[in-house]
Amino acid sequence: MMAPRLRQFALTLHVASSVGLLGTIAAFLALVVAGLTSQDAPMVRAAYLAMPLIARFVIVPLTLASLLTGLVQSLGTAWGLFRHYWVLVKLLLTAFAAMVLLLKIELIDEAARLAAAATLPRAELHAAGIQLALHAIGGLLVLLVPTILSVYKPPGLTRYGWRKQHEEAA
Amino acid sequence: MAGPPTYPGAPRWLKRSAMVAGLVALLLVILIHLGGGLHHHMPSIDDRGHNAAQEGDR
Repeated sequence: MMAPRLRQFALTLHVASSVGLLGTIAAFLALVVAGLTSQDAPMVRAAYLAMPLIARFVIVPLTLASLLTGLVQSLGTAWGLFRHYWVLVKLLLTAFAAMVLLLKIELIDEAARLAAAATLPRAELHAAGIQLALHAIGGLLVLLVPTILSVYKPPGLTRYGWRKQHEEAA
Repeated sequence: MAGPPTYPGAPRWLKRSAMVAGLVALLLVILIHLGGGLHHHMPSIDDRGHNAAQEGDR
């Protein structure tokens, strides 16, 4: 088990990275909406060109940090990783979001490449933008669930957690 | 002597959430299927290059 000060430090890192991730995805969604709705070509170009930077240098690191600090937090405290359903669901959702994000980096790069073309391919960018918007909205919704679970901590032990609890009580 | 307590099973919030998530996933699959897939309108760079080359030929 972690010492209280270390646990608080790890928790601070976990909350900061997880909430920061939500905010960054919201900012990414704002760029996607600007790219989809603006009639101003430089604005559309700038929005799509900024996306890979935000994705690679902010969203991916924050996702990995959130996942890693979550693992440290659960393994270093009495909550455990597989004992409580809310911890397990958080882990699975964050891992799923990270996997989808890493798979969609290529699409983000593709949209930026399209936006960098001399003549803006509006229809192709629109198709890419729609996909990115759907993924950003989906990501926001999926990552809101771990935030809610962290605050409410709904009860419910896994079969493993139940067995461990009774072994420790005996 | 009483035996070990039996496992009460998954909590209600988890069962309900799983049901909602399953329904949303099913709805998404149906919508994507009806829409011809998310990648239907997404051209690849190669396609674009090919089109640009064709336009350049004209």
